[in-house]
Amino acid sequence: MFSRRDFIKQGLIPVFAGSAVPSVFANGLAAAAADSPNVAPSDRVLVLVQLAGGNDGLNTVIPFADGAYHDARPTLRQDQGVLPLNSQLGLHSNLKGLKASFDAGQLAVVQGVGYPSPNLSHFASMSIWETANVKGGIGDGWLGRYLNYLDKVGESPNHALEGVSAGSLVPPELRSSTPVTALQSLKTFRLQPVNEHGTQVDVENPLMKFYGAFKGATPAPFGALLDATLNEALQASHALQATDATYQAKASYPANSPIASSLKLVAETIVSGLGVRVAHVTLGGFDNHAREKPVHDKLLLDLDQALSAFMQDLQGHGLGDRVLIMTWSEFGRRVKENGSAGTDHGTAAPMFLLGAPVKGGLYGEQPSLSALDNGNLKFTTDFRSVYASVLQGYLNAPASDLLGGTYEMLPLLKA
Amino acid sequence: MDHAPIATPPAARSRPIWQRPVSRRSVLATGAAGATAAALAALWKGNDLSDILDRVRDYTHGYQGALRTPRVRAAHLLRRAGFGATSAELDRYAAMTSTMMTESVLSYQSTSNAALEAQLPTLDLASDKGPTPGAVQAWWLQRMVQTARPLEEKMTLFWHGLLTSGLDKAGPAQLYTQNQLFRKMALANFGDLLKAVSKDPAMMVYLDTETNRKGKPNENYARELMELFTTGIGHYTEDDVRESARAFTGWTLTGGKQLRYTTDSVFNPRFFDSGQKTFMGKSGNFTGDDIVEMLVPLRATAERLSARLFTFFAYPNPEPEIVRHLADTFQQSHYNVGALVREIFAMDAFYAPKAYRALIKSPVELAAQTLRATGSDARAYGAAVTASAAMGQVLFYPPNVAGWPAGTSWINSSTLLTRLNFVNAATQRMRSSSSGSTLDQLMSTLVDGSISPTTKDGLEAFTAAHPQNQAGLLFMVLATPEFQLN
Repeated sequence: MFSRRDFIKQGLIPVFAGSAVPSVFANGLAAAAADSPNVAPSDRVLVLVQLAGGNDGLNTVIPFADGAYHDARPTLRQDQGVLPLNSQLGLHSNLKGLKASFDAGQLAVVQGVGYPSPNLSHFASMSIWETANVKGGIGDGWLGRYLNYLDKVGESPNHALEGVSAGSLVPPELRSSTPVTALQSLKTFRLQPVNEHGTQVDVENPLMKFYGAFKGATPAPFGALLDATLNEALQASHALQATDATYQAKASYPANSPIASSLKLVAETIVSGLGVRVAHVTLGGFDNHAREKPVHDKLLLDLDQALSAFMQDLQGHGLGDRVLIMTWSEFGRRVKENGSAGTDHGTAAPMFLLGAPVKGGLYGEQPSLSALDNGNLKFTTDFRSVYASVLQGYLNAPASDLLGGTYEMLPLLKA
Repeated sequence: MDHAPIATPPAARSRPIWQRPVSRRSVLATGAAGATAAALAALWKGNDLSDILDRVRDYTHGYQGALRTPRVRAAHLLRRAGFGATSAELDRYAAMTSTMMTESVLSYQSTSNAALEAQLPTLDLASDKGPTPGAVQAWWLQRMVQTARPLEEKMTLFWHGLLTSGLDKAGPAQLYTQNQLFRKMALANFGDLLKAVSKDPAMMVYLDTETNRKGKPNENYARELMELFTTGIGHYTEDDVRESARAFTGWTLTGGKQLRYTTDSVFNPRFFDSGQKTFMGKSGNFTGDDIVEMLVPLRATAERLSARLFTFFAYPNPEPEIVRHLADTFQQSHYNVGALVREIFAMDAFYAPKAYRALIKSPVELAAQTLRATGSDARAYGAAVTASAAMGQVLFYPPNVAGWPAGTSWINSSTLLTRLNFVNAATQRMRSSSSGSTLDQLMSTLVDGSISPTTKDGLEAFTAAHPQNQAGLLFMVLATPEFQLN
């Protein structure tokens, strides 16, 4: 038995010779338009929003009623316009869209998320979150393992667009033997033909032969990678060109906002019915050791506006029930601000889960601002609990197998 | 600081791994077994006979012997130590011994770069805001393409990827200044370089030392100096981070310009924390330079820098014996980077089959080597900078302080299409006057004349079908998997 991917990986059949489009692409839009109230797990999409650099959780979900917060943050404290979630906690004043989602029961705020023996290195901690392996952060990405699982149980759409990331790099959390696609634009995602006096010479078939031949030589470092990647790229580009969907955004995305552009691209990919199961976008710039306030305020504004437009767009296309958004960051910041009106690396921070599938509210426990560990918050919820709850409760996947351990399930999601 | 004599390793009982030849027989045996397996697999799947024969031929084709050819050794060295070579350069280097080649590459100080300097556009360094990011990026890419001292630019690229600073925080004039520092100290003493970088305006803005003041320590630079620039994680404590941050106080930016446009730094004793600090078990009124002098001699620093440089020039995941040998060389040379680089090029491991095509061209390497092949005009550099960004690498804008992850992360479906479309566009821009090479010449200069038989057939078929399409043929050579590797 060979799956379609086995053939593609081994380069044994010219996959696109007849430019036949796998049926999975053909009726995506029709399926998408039927806004079923009971969405099957196989139609569900998880969108990860990575807040890279270490988001200041205390200035995102603000413990405004706690005197210790005001003491620790003489210049950075947010005391104007905090959007209260209860009598103790409120969202940063720039998170108006998220506040509206919270009020509509579509935002879950998980407090104090971290892991034991926190690592204050960006890269070590990112790897830990990406692999869900707190011992060294090695191995496939936790969502790469999910895509592998889909492949294994035959639920996979079986093409390189089931995992996509906006940008030029594939994030480690999506990495595994299952191909995923970095996308910068759907329109330019194609191999240009060679020009000959105004006519076009197609070079796909000869190049596929070249790459297949190189893979076979000895030694050919990266031969298999190059060959598989070319095949995936051509397969995905054919799928993109074959879709008859003409995406029209049903929301106004902010201009000059990279996170908005990224989310719009993800929306386009979902709306076009290309079989996306997991998408990843990154908003960077959170490592604010100095002069944090103006930068952080702007980042949260960009995040909020982009997420609001994305939600509105998906709802406009009748896809709101199918998409869950989750934010994460490698760590929060030190409780006490430093002398540069910034914050150094810290530990626990809140996570957001956003969308119609969410059972809104506050989850977990806000860490104490006085019982600290070396000036840092003690985490109250393990991030792997959140992962497990999403894998099991939303994606219907065996969380303990994929995470290599059993974690407390949080009731973050509707059944 | 005094330096304890470094023990030399005991005489190796067996030849070290980098001096062991690869048995030709073992290589051939592997190839033949692979070919048989592939043929059986193909039969099993019912492919027709000619496909099977092609497959057997490709599997039995090998690159093991390629580096025994002087011209291929020259091409290999000039790809790694620079940005590829012309046919004439290959001829010149192929006539040298390996030692002569290494010395020629390393002794670039004696080569004039006047022709390049005359070609470069003038950067606006006088105005308040200085040059635009695009101008500095294109300026550097042009240097890589046209330099007469390739190793100087290659080492500058190495330092940019290790001692990172980026346009997300620092300004273009600051990054230009830092880039010139890397160029000037490309092969210098590592401690001297780190001391200079600690006071470099781009670094001071990027990792916040410009705000690090007495009584208001900022940990950012101190942490990354240890985690990324010297020992790596696991060799220091959080207390070491906090204490050494205090030692790096005192340096500040000067001049009337806005912070990110200032290109001068100065020591201000009023901002310096002159109190006692305890760092890695020692106590004293340490300065930043003192911290650097304690970090550079550490074995972890020597091994980390050695592994990183070997990976940059030769192949990833070097064997522990290689790292130990290079770390010894580095320490014995009193932390001289030039000595370390010379030793890497001198090792048999550098020319071992394992090293051949064992690196993926980074986007700027692909861009520079492509423009050297197609020829370039003033507008080509900006276009190549933009294309490199879509391939995953923006000069002066590393994704974060760890630099580019490099290696296999350069290749995904999006970046591979972008690479192929970039070389296509670059060949389309070529003026017809710069064409005229035969297929054999192109293959010899660009892919060592060492290419799979199927690909060679394909290129010959393209030439036969499109005899006038010189740009198309060059594209086909640059689009081969072999050219994607270094």
